[in-house]
Amino acid sequence: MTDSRATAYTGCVSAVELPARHPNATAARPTFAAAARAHLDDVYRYLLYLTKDGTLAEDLTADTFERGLRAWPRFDPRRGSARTWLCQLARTSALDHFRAEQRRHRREERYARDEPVAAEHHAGGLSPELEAALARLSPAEREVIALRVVLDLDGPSAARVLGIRESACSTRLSRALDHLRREIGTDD
Amino acid sequence: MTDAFLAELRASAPPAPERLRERVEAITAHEPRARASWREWLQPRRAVLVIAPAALAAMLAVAVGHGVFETPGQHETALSPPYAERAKSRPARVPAPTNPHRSGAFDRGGGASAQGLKGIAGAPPARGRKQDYRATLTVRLASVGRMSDAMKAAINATRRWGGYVVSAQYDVPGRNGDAQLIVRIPVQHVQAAIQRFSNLGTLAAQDVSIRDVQGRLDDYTRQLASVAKLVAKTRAELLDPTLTRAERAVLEARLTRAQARGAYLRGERTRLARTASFATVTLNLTTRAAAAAAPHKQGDVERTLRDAASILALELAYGVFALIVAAPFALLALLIWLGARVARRRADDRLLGST
Repeated sequence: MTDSRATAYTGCVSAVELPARHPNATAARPTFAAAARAHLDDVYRYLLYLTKDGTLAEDLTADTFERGLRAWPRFDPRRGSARTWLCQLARTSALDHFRAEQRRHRREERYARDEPVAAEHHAGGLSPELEAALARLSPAEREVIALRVVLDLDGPSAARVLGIRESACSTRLSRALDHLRREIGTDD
Repeated sequence: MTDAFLAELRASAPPAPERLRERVEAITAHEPRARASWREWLQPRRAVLVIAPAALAAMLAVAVGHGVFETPGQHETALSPPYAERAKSRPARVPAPTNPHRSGAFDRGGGASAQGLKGIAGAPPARGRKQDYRATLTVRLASVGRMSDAMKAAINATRRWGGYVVSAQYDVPGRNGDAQLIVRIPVQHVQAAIQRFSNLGTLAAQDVSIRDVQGRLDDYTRQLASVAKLVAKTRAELLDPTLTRAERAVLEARLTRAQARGAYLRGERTRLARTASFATVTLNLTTRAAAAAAPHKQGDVERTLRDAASILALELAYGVFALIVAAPFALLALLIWLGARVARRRADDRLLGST
């Protein structure tokens, strides 16, 4: 997988989506309800890929929109689209959850051995091979795949969500896809 | 093989479950009505565009306001350059008046017409506190013929108040002349003296300087009390018959030192108290027309502009000072913020790479 391939996934801008730094971005600011309706699926998919857990993804999605409702007055359409902004919030929600889980895990480790890991649940119609391969990727790899492939975010927007440079985002995507390819045995 | 799995990933992207959609709709139902808040309007770039000119306007307003309202235009006159130079070259014990409207709370001075200074007899000395009071007056006389009478009148008045003449210079080479009289007058009469000297002719300039010395006097008194205690204690110790010769020698040396210190402190306190009980008044008499209280032709506007400029310079100096002081702290805060950001990002990366 090359960088050129990584940047090939573009398009699919929804009705509410506005390109970053659009001259009329301020005038076309949507309501939060409209943005939520338009991007609910994207946020959920992103969190589902990141967490590998449908129930957790639902909870985090709801948490993301609660945060979004509070922070909506600070949303500036000139700095990025609503979808990018919501994905950033979703990532923060997920990271907060992971941190809390990590702390809880450390606490519990002092008293007991690990609980058996719950069966991974990845909603959707993916083939078992692909779902298993995805499960073997790290969350960082899954999230870049989710953003660039599943959500079709462009390079700058995905990089903004991840908080890294665009070139680093392309590199991360390339490595993630190579890893996925190896996992499903299609490395040719 | 092409990346068929990519197409599969995109095609099978799961939609949000209906129950989640309902949860989110319930959340968004609480969305408040959109209204333009000042925070939305005040974007950083716009804020800079508004705040910078506002700050500049405020600086200019303060400077111009100070220039207009603080410059004592109608009471001020200026000495002509030749007279000013002569005044500087004299061996005056009190500096000639300079930049009168820059005087502080204990300095009051400035050129003034006799009309303008009628009733102003310098700042009164504070009651109950010892102060080093100095005043310099410049009085223009109508002719050299009156110079001698004015000098005599000033000296007589000084003696009548219990003061004395420190120095007197009389220089009348031709039609114009100058004289300088330095006198010491008991502080309780200094205001009367200033008033009297001002009435000798036309008052061209007046400069009063007051320095409080009560603190130093109190300090001497405290030290003297401490020395007296030490002397008394040492004397009591010397009465002890069991003292060895060496111990007695040490105590006697200590007593001698303490007594010498006490004598020095008493002398200093007396000298300071005597200095503070008399005010030094320097009276400059001149017949030169240039030294008269002629109004400055371009006075008010020029002074206002000059004052405004000086306030602006002062504001800039404070700004640069604040910048220099704050810069290291700002840099440190920036470095801490950047470091915390990098650390958090690395922690996030570790978390996502291992979770």
